[in-house]
Amino acid sequence: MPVKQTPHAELRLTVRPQSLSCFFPLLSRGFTVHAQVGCSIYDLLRHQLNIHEQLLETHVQTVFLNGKAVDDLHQSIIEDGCTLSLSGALPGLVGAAFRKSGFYAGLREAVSFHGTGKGQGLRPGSLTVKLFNLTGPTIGPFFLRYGIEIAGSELEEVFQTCAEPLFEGLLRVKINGRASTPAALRALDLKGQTVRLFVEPSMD
Amino acid sequence: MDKILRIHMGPDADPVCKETPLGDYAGLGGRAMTSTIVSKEVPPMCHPLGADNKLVIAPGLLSGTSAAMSGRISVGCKSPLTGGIKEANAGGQGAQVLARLGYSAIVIEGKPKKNALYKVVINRNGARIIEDNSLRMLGNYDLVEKMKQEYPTAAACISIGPAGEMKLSAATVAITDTEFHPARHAGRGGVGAVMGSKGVKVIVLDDTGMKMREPKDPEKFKAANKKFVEGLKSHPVTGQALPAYGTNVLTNILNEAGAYPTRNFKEGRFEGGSKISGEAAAEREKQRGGITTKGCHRGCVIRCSGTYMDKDGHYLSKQPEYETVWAHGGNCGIDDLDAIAMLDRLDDDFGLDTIEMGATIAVAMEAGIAEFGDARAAIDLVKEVGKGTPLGRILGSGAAVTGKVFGVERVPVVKGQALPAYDPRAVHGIGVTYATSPMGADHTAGYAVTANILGVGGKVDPLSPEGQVELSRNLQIATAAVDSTGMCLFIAFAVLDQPETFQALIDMLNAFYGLNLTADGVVELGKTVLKAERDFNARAGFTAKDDRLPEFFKKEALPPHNVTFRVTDEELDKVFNW
Ligand code: SF4
Repeated sequence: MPVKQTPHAELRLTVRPQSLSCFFPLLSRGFTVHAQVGCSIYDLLRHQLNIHEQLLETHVQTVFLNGKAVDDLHQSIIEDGCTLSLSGALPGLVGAAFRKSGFYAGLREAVSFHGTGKGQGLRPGSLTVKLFNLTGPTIGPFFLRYGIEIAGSELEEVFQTCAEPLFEGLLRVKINGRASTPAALRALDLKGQTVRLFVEPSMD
Repeated sequence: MDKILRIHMGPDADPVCKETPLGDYAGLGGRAMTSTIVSKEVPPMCHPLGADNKLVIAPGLLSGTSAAMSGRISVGCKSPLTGGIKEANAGGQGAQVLARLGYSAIVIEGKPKKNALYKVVINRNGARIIEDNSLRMLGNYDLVEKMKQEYPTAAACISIGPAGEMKLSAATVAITDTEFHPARHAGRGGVGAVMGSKGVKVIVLDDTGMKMREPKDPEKFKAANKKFVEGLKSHPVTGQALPAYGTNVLTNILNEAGAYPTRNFKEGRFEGGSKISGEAAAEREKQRGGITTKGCHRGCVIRCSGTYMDKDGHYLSKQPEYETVWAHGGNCGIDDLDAIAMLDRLDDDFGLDTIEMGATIAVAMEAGIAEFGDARAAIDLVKEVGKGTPLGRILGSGAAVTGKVFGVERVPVVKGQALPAYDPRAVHGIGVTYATSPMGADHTAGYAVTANILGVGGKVDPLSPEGQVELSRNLQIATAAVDSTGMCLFIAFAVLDQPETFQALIDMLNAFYGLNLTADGVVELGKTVLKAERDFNARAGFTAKDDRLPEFFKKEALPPHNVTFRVTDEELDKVFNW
């Protein structure tokens, strides 16, 4: 039986910085990233996504790999098909417990991730990423620039719920490699499709 | 704050208000005040709804001053839910106004000789108690509206809804917020039932003509308060995460960790989690014209609260807290934010603890009374409680009673009180606190200042099994101390990471009262409070066997990580070896 392929669309949008926030709710629900896997979380974020050291230090306070709390970004290896979730600092004792390498990490030992630091070498793969709370605005723009893959229906929801700020700040559109218009973007029927989305902020 | 208002309800005479000096209770505030009075004056074996129990309402040590975050109010008594000592605290305007009126505590004692309902009106001329049976079975929202019309200069109300009048064990005491909505609740342990048993429906507070409380050393106090506020604003939790998303910022994280109790603690991850997360709620509040960042009392600089509007843009409830969203949401398999906000509103109006009610409805769902995920049915069940039907009275008595009545084995309670929103199988350290807190399963019992700043019990290895016990002990001591200051517990996050912010808090207390309190003094205060509470419970018949989680936490593995609670009974028994 032939494998049914989900049709793909590639969208490249250039937007004013204030329009970027329209995409943040999407990022907390999870999206796919194609990257070189087999490296540490740190290498992925710092060297493939180009997220500044300082941002990682201050804004990525809580990290989960496959639902387990991570303490050391260098020792935890990204494997093909894994789920990586990032969050800022969280309230409560439980928030303190889940914080990476926090004083209270022992409280959640039962669900801690113990990395070995050893991967099987770099190779192309993909992972699911979720950016919770303030990592949306702080780390999200790096992923949007790098490129994320989401269901078309989810993007259509963004076009509906955030229509005004998004389209007011939309500067350039490319659909499947060709320059296009906001109107054409709005008219797209993305249901049933997977969308590779690239969003670049610009002060133009 | 140099006096206590004692309201004697009878039955030997008609209700009467009397002011007494502080005496032995001088220097106490918040939880330290309520727990000390209860442990000294209430016979531990008394019936919680009888004449011998007392309801103590106390503002914090810095309430009524210009200190930021100083508006928590504590409500204490012998709990009808747990049978042990109880302190439940809440935000809202009550603490600030009561403190400005000069009261360190209100103690309601005795029991009326007749079946009448009373209101207490307190202003700068003193307190009056007035019989008013027209208030019977009013919801908290209608009640405070009526009070505002009768007393237009009233600044706050402390009240019970129909659940308190029916003396149900899940009943709360409501405190009005800055908009005069009865939306902040001393929620846990059935404190509202005790107020109902005394026949007091509402306390109306009017501080017209009263001034802010003055510190002994105004300059030092001002400087310390400034430092304290700077510390709160610069910290990522108190300066960013809480103001942006409120406490519900935790939903996505607990869910991701597989520590989010789902469908009556059967699973650790809820597929609808992202739909009811703090991020989703903040988006919806913005779209509907609600406020996403707001304080529950004046002087709050973190402002973790907000307003939740209905589809037509009208106020429905406060922004539901994380525990409420979990209890009525994931724990019941419900992923509809509007339904959860409606349940929050109904709970607030009837005067019910959202954690206890959510846990109870999940137990009822487990029993087959409704389907998991059926939001309509959940709303109808809470309405049964408000109406006082036989089913409603069972549900309003909490998860333990409901589990017994319907023969459910998986009932998540400790000392009769429902567990909050963190599964102890995934976060063992929190399970230790749930099991051993004198209050019953209580998430706030270990919410506070870090052990390494206070240095309580020396340094511990948090990764060892003993470390879990040590940490829980230290946190419970520190929490008891912070609860006694009357500061919102959410200051703990900044204090946790920033010793200078903790020092600023101590400096404020010292400058206000002319004291020389040190971190060690704070630790001693916390220990004294906990000792008094444990002593009360021991005299009420509690033993080490009550410091246990329900056995299903040891037997049933929690998906997705398939973990069980592994801290042994012997380790739990070491928590209070100090
Ligand atoms: S931080 Fe939240 S709970 Fe604490 S006082 Fe402010 S609004 Fe109230």
